Amino acid sequence: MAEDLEQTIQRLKELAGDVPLGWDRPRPKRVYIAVDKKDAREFARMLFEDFGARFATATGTDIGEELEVVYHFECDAVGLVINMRERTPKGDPVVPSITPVVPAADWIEREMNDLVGIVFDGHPDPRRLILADDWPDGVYPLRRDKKNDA
Amino acid sequence: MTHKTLIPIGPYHPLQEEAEFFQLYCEGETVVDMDARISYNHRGIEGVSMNRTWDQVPYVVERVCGICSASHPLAYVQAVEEIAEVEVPERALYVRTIINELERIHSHLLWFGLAGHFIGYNTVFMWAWRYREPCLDALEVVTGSRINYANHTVGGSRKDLTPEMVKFVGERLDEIEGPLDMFITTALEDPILSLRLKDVGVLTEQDARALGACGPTARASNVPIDVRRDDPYAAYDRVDWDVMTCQNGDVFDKVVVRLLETKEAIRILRQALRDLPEGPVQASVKEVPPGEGVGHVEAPRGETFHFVKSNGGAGPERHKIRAPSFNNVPTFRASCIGQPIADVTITLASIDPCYSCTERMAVVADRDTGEELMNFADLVKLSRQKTEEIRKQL
Amino acid sequence: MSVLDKVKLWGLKKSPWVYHVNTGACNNCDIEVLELLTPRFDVERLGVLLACSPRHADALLVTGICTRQARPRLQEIYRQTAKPCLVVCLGACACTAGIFHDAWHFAGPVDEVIREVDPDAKIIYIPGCPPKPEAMIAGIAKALQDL
Repeated sequence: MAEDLEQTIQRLKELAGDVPLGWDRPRPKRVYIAVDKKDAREFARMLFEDFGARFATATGTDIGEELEVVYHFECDAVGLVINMRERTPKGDPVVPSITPVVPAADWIEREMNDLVGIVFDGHPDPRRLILADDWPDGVYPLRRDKKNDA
Repeated sequence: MTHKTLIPIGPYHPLQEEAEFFQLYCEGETVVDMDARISYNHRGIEGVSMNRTWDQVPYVVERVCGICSASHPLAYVQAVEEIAEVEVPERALYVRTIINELERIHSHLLWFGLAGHFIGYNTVFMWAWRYREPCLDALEVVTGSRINYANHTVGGSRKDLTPEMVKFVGERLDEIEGPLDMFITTALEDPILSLRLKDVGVLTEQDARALGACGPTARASNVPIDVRRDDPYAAYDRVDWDVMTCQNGDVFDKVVVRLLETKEAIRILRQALRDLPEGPVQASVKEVPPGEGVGHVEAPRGETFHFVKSNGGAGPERHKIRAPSFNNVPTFRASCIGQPIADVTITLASIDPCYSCTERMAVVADRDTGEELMNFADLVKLSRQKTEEIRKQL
Repeated sequence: MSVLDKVKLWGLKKSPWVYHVNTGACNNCDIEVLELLTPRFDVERLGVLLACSPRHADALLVTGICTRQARPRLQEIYRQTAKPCLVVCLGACACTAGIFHDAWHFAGPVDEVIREVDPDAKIIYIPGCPPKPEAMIAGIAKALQDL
């Protein structure tokens, strides 16, 4: 018999173990899990391979003192969206790339690098993706402390 | 408005003299690698959205892509409704379903026409686009515009349907249903289409999952995902319908999935129009508190995913927009490597990316010098020649 | 005007060949341009054909906001287009950038980009988002009359 939502959440909790720094479930089908960036790649691998979730996309945000990445995974069988969150200080804007274990994250990590200036360590192809060829280096349109014209 | 002159005039597509979007590297007649550069069309809509109020954003995001113009606003308003915990009235859920399924029909017919054009079936192009018109008329009567409907708002729908509109939409569906059956029969039974499209541009199930493909691109590769069933929204869990999937992941399967989905869309529409409940179409939303919300819908091309962060202000603090093609276009690399050059236009088209992006495709022979062998018009010609050769052999 | 110029103008007015350029648009205007070819609007009866190359074109149909990446390319296409030619700014984005005026990749508007190359360029504007096919046909017909 197919697994239901609560069983799926239970299985997720077991696989997550004590890695999460925070666990929030504001709606039945929405889970927000905070992890330390050093655990991000392995946690993403767990979600993709062991748990069997599909990778949807990721959101990079400048939240002030820090930069935040939220990876959005989905468990289609029960309509669950798992949002995996990590943060890094602006002075050290480097996080591990999850592309080596989740190939679908390739383009979105390149985009977050272009727009927010987050560096994805270990990305197999870290070229500029969406900004123009002559867009100046080091100017990140979605950073709060930068003007939007360059 | 009702000219019925049918002159098959075979348009040839305008080409972009410089390859911008897709560059294909080949050895002999076979593609060995692909690269895509997408800065040409980048407009920075996420930034524009952040400078608007909650109510202005739907008008911005419906212009992310013209053909998915009902899907993006719906995903956005659903994300905001999640944050603000808004209960959308029943009638609005049905109105949303009606508009989004009409969009699905016109988008799939548009695609079917273009696909026909790329392989040399120009009459298919003319017929498919001719039968888009009743769909666009229905949308114009219901929302006020052929495209860019501006109907989805936070809390419901901006405009309601009158009984006359319901009748009008039903009559347009009657007009489309017969020709659609003809297209389906043609696609499934035409021996040339089978030979031309089967085993072409195969995306394996494994690649589809690894690369996060969605929509018909995934469903044709035996990945049975569909947001309408998996995380139901609007009125999709209140009507009967089926998810269409195929096994082989080739271009032929993608054609079949889309045509069958169009038939399902008509089935959903008839139920939604029949069961449209009474009541208001707009809930009152006073403010959006701090929080985060996810809104995703099944656009014609696949899952459209919006993530919205609110800090309690007048508009979104952060608005992430992920169109389905962003995940599907990279799969082109997996499905075109090893293919003959004559098949690249139809392989790319089968993923259903933006038309403007497709026309910026070129074959580059030498990676170092960038020496260009062929541009888009040449590739379309090759594709049609292949169809002709198959026709002669039969 | 020399005889050759008069012949060229007559040819342009009688059967304008148009070359479509997308400089960063959402595709709505572009799809409506293709609509013009389909049976309902059938613009070929007016002599309008889509050209394969700017060198054969009498008019450029420009859509989009002219992104930073597109700007030099648009100017190059204009240089290559056979003269005399008409530049048609199709849609709100091409006319004024519309809602994208504060986008970080906006490098237009289209008329300023073209005038940088040719201050005397003939530019017409067909606003709308997207302009209805009837509006496009009316706009082009009106422009041709005034030439």
